[in-house]
Amino acid sequence: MPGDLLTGLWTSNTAPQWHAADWERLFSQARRARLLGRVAWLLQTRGWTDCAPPEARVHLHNALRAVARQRQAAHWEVDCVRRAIGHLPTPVVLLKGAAYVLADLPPAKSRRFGDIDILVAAPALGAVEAALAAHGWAAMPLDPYDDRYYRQWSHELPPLRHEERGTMLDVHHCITQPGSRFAVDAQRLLADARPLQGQPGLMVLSPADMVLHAAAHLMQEGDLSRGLRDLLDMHDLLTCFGAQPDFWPALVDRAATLGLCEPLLDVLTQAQCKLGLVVPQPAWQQLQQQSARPLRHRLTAAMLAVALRPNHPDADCRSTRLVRAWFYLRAHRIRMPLHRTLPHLLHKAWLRLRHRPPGLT
Amino acid sequence: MKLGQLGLQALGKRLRGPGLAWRSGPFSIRLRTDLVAVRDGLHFLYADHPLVPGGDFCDGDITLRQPRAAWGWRRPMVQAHVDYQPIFEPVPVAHALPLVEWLLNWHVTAHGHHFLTVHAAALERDGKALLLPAPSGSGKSTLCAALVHRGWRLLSDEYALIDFATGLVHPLARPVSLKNQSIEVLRAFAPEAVFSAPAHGTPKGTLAQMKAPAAHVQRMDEPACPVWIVFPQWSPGATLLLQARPKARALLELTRQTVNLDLAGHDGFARLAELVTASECLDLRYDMLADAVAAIDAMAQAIDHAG
Amino acid sequence: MLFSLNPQIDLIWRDWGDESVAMEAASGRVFLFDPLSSALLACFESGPQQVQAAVDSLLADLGSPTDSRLQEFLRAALDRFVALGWLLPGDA
Repeated sequence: MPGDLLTGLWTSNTAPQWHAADWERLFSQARRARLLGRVAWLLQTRGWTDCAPPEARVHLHNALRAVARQRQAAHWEVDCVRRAIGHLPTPVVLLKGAAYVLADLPPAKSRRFGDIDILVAAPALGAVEAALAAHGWAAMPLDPYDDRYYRQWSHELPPLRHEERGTMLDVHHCITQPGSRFAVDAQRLLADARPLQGQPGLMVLSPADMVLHAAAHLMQEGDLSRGLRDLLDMHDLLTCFGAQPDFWPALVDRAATLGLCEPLLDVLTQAQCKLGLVVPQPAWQQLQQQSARPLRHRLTAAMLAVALRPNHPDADCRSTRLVRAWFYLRAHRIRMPLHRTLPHLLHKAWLRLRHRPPGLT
Repeated sequence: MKLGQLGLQALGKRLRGPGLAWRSGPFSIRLRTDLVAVRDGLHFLYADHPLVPGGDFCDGDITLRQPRAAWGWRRPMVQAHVDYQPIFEPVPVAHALPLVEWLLNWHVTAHGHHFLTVHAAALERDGKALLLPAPSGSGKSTLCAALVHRGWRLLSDEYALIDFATGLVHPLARPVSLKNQSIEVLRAFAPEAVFSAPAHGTPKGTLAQMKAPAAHVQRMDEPACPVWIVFPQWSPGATLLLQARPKARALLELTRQTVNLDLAGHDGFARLAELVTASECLDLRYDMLADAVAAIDAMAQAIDHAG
Repeated sequence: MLFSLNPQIDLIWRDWGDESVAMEAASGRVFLFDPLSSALLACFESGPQQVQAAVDSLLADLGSPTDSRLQEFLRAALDRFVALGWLLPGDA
């Protein structure tokens, strides 16, 4: 077994000297982790593409083309959203992938993004939903349980799908669930949002909020099997924003204000260990002081180091399954109070048991 | 070395161990399974396909395992995995061979973006290629299988691979999948055709794979230039009709059948437009298979006579 | 009313006699157009246009300046381009 071939690529200084069989395994790990585009980008920027066997290079080329195409598609989709709701009296803040693409941030160069995510003011939700419906977006059909989950407990409308284009749009009014341990006041985020150049009516989160959103999202995500991808996005953002003066102190202050020191500390720890991120000492010390639960942090760091390995048999160790299951439960516990967690998990388990597979589809 | 040159025992050992790796045209695949039915089916259907030498790079992988689920004991099931991750629902073991074909097609559409992937059958005669673009249910696979046994070389029955730069169609030369009454229709039309054991009771009915002739498989690395684009529509009771299709409408339909046009963008559209400009574009409506084959042969001969 | 071509769109055309096929690469969609609709869109390629002026100029070229059915047809074509997001109100 070749082991985890993927994570080490980002901190390696020498071109990979692998056999064809290892390249095949790397591609399998990368596809599973949704990182083939990033691998292709890394190899290209370091001049290492020719290290791959000739038959393999076509897949790298295809991966980069897919990234470029999706960037173009995201621009178009955001343009459609802007035409539908840009005139409404609410800020419209692009989140995650759409923000990275439209603001031309480093993660957009190498990563494919699926749904468009936007953040709007809660009072405008009804008007936003109505305007989107008038332009062809409709809520995906959900059973009453899931519909209640989204509207009452979650921080999103049910996912919207465009009836002609088939593209997905997630409308948020907060970045964390009401009742979540990492509950964030959306008004603060909206107040600090920045206009997007060349896109009247659209905004993105401030650099610090963008990082904190990504950190909170990762740490309340139940499925960490693609966590390495999210960690790489954050590493890119931190490297980019970190070049701005005063970014690091501002980031730590903002984390304290929003109550997100814990997820930020956890994520920065992993980015340092796995990806060689350099965090300025003063900021690191201040963050550790703010977080103040060293035992929790050490335990979480050890578990995260396992959970963020590529989700592939090559990279698994004996505790991988247990650790992933622990984070799954923990994420639900973070996202919702205990009196909701248990019934919710029981409901999902019951759905799985009830399901019987059909034949060939 | 060809897959069929391995004995069943050696084949099984590879499948259970490092995986059996073979190539169809520009695509290689590594398959792992302990199912004897799959071993035997591959040995039969892919006998003439070249093995990928040990240690060489494979484009994709498939693993077929029996799930350890509580309901497994009632009917043996098989779960497919790609990159060691479950894909699609488990199916009865008796449907494993159609599942393999389905997965190989999935690999082409998921990873084949260095080609324009058109949902079409493709055949060749005298260096000229015929494309039969059509959605499922139009009868293209049956017509393709029939033409294979009337002097046309099989390039592909399901997805035609078109090179961006040259416009040539690259063969896969894989088995042709047929279903329900098409199987008997083909047996009657071409008694020499060789089939895998049929799989009954799939959601599409009865499925069987027709082996690609060895001579066609041997030429899997010989692409061909498209000269005809025929849009087939099988319709019970229909009068035979083979007539020119306006170029704009031919291009429109061809783009609809091109699975990765969105990704291909302007380059892909321009290539399809050139294809349509340079080819004879026709609609074919038919009921009797023999009539359709005769009409296509006549069309091909008309080109021959015109030089 | 003033309309202009959406700078986000990326069109490639192929024409055969009385029909055209266009691919819009940003959305990845392909369309079949009649010559009138293609000509109407072409009016906006040089810059923002007043709708009525574009329609009148086209009809004058065709030698049918007052044909009401053609007027209606062109209006419908315009609505289609607006619904697709290819034409935007104002000077974009």
